[in-house]
Amino acid sequence: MATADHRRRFLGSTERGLGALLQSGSLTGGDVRWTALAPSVNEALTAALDRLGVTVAESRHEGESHLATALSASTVVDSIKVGAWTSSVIRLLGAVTNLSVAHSRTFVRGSGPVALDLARRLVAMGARVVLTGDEPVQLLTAAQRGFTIQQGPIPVPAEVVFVFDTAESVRPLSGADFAPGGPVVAIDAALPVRATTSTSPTEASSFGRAGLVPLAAGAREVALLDAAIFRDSTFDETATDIETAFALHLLALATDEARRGNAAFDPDLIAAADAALAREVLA
Amino acid sequence: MSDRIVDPSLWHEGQAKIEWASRFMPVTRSVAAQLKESGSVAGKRIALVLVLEPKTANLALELAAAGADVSVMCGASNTRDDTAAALERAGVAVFARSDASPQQDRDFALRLLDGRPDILVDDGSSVTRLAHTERPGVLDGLIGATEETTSGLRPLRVMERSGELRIPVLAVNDARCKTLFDNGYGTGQSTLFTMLDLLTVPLDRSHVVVAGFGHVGRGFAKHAAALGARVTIAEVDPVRALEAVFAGYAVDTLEHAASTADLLVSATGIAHTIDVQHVLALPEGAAVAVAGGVDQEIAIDALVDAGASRRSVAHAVERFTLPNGRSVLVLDDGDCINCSAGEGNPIEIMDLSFGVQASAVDYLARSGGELGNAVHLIPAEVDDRVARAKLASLNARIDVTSAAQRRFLDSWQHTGRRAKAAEGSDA
Repeated sequence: MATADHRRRFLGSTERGLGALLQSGSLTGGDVRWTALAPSVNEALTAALDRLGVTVAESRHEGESHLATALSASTVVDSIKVGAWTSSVIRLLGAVTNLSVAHSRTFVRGSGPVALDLARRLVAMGARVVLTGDEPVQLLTAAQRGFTIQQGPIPVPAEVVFVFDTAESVRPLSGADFAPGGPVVAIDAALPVRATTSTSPTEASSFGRAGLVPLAAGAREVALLDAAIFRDSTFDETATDIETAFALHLLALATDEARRGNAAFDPDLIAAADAALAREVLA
Repeated sequence: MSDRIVDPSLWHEGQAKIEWASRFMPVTRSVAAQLKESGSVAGKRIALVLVLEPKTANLALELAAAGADVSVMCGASNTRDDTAAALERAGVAVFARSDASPQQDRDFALRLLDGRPDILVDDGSSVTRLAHTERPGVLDGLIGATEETTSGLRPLRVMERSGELRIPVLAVNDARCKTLFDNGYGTGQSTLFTMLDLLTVPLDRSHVVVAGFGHVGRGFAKHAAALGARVTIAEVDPVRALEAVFAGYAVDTLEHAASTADLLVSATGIAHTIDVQHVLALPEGAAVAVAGGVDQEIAIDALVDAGASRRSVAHAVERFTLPNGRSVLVLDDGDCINCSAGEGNPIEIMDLSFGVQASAVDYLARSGGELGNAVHLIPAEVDDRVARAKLASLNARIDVTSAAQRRFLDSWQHTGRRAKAAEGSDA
């Protein structure tokens, strides 16, 4: 990978920052398997600890067993993963369709973090975006931020060219959701489950474009793009990096707590690890 | 079997791609329909020298449908063989192979000229200039040429000033419906996306340094900022630099900004924009690339002469180890990355450019040889025609100037300030 050095630098920075703490001797013991984590994070975390000469006893610190929970609660991890995902989706759309984001009439279905981040980036590129969904409070928040919103189930208008379906507070998209009109690309943009494997689009469909498959939608010609299937490595590698860095911060903090005699896992450590990670990323 | 294309059997795949593009090219279709109705290009030999991919194929097919005898030539690095096969099958003579050597590319260009075109549609002006040096006799029958790019117009204007330009050239690049959208949006999207596809890194929080704040630089900066980058602009023009400041970007010298760049991009179309000292200033692991561009816009030859070594590390990505011990990534050999490593500008954007091209071809065909041997700006009505066609396709309505407004605009006695009677004024 062309930018592996760049990624190693990032994690290396985390390791250097935490090395003294982790090597303090408070983490000792036998083998450890971070089975609750994504395999890539497990591997990266184990490798990072190996480089630091640290082995960890799984039973020694409760913080370890809380890692998976903590990762899902980290706002920093979530924010960076969402950003990496939405950027990847937009790039994939460009690569697969060769269509312009600027000037496009675009629907973003959903009102959660992925929907808002997608909408923000698309608007900044010049797209005319409408956020649609079923969750009124989130939609109101989006409207307050200046997004154009439409509430409730409405058909995709004739002039819309892109429909992003985020699966956030919105029912699944179906062929019946499209009003008659011109060709439209529907993008399944739900944040992917990391365990799912991805592949590069290679085989051209009836549209002549690898990655686009027809979706039955009455009179409307709809080309479906599953972004999770055709994602490149950007999202997964970014997620692995940031989750591993967060895990290292959390372990360091838990270790410090244990050294002070606080063996029980304190949920506040998640916020503390988030703050430490955020400071590192910003630096 | 023809030696002009790689594999005729690839036509089916190429045709499907052409049809996909066709769905989003209402402007080219609309303008070409007008040409067909008027008969302006019927029987005219039109030679296209453009990036050979599905959008260009649509222009070629629409001109052919309007009655022109169309041929297409393209250099190896910008040729899609399936598109070439589909065009050839549709009756368009194609001179383009992705495996062609530089000598073959040159031979193809000469063979295209030997077909004695009436109108030449050029991209980079290489074939227009080749005609002047190698086939001057062809110029006698050439009504004129159109030029698609900023970098192609520069040498043509030099030729005009020195009295060496022997044909009229229409500066399609300078048409508002080309530059504002192709350079300003299309190149920004396509070059940035291609770079990130090669690097597979998110841009959030990265420092992107853009040399040049012309249309391409603006478009690139806009898209980079949209994807989360901090953008710094380097300029030699103080007014453009000030525009960048007002657009919210940092402005700095290229060498200083490069020292903290994650991605350094030239958008000037001028050789040696990113010179040796700028590359040496980059931090370890930074990437450098060109948006649009000309040969040696990144001074790669000078960099190698200065002691840099290079090795390929991924598709279209080379690691240059510099004399100062650092290493940086150079994307696609500093080439026009959106065409050579990507798929060119987006379809709807090229639809506008090709709408202008088709209109320019029409204008040349109707000119009856009256235009002088110079680089001519496109008449305003061409831009209007293209813009109206696009707006119509979007069902977007616009206003017209009212009679009262026209009276005001035609008057020199009224400034628009409220008139005050001389008497009774409290002034």
